[in-house]
Amino acid sequence: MLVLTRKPDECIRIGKKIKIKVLESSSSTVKLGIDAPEKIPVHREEIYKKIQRENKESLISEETTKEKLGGIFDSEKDNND
Amino acid sequence: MANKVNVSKKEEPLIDEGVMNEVYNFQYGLPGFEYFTEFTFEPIEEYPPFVLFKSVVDENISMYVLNAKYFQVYDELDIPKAELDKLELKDSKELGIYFILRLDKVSQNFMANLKTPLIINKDKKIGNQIFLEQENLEKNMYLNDALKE
Repeated sequence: MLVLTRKPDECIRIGKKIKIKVLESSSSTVKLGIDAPEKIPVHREEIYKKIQRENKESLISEETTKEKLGGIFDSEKDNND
Repeated sequence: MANKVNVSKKEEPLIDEGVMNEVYNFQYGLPGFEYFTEFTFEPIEEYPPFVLFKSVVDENISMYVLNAKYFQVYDELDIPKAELDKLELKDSKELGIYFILRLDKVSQNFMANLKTPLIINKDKKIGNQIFLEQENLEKNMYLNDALKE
């Protein structure tokens, strides 16, 4: 991993289009400003990993047969009949 | 609590027909599936209004999704302008929002993470999965509790 030391108001450039600026730093946190093309998704690492995990858990498997979708909307339909 | 979703409501279409069976480009894939960029929405005929969201190139990458209109939080969803701009929307009617469903293995009930919807431009056939910072949205809500009465 490349390690760079930066002070508040100093920046890092990644390629031509991404700039990361240190806005504030304290003993426990760093506030960063990120300029990137608007189409590039930017996430906090822990949130991104959580979405990754949930998406993988959402994959349809042998256990998640579509029959398990039954009853959720059907119940009201039955009640209306 | 019994689910009281009113599926017989005539004015509310069960399935967004304009969205179904078209190929949508998710330029950056989905977190966890970054290399899969083309997906389709297919109606699940036996269980409307549930929809199958699946990769065009690998049918194992497939999930159940449901139109956000069926959820209580629908009117409270506040999609950031930056995310809407990425979809190049010209009209709010072009916007589609779907929640991914996940089976809770313990209770065997479906859950939805209301913070991470799929948003699509129905006209341009492009989409993204986004993260909503809204504090009023629950990360893991049982479908039976999340749907409109």
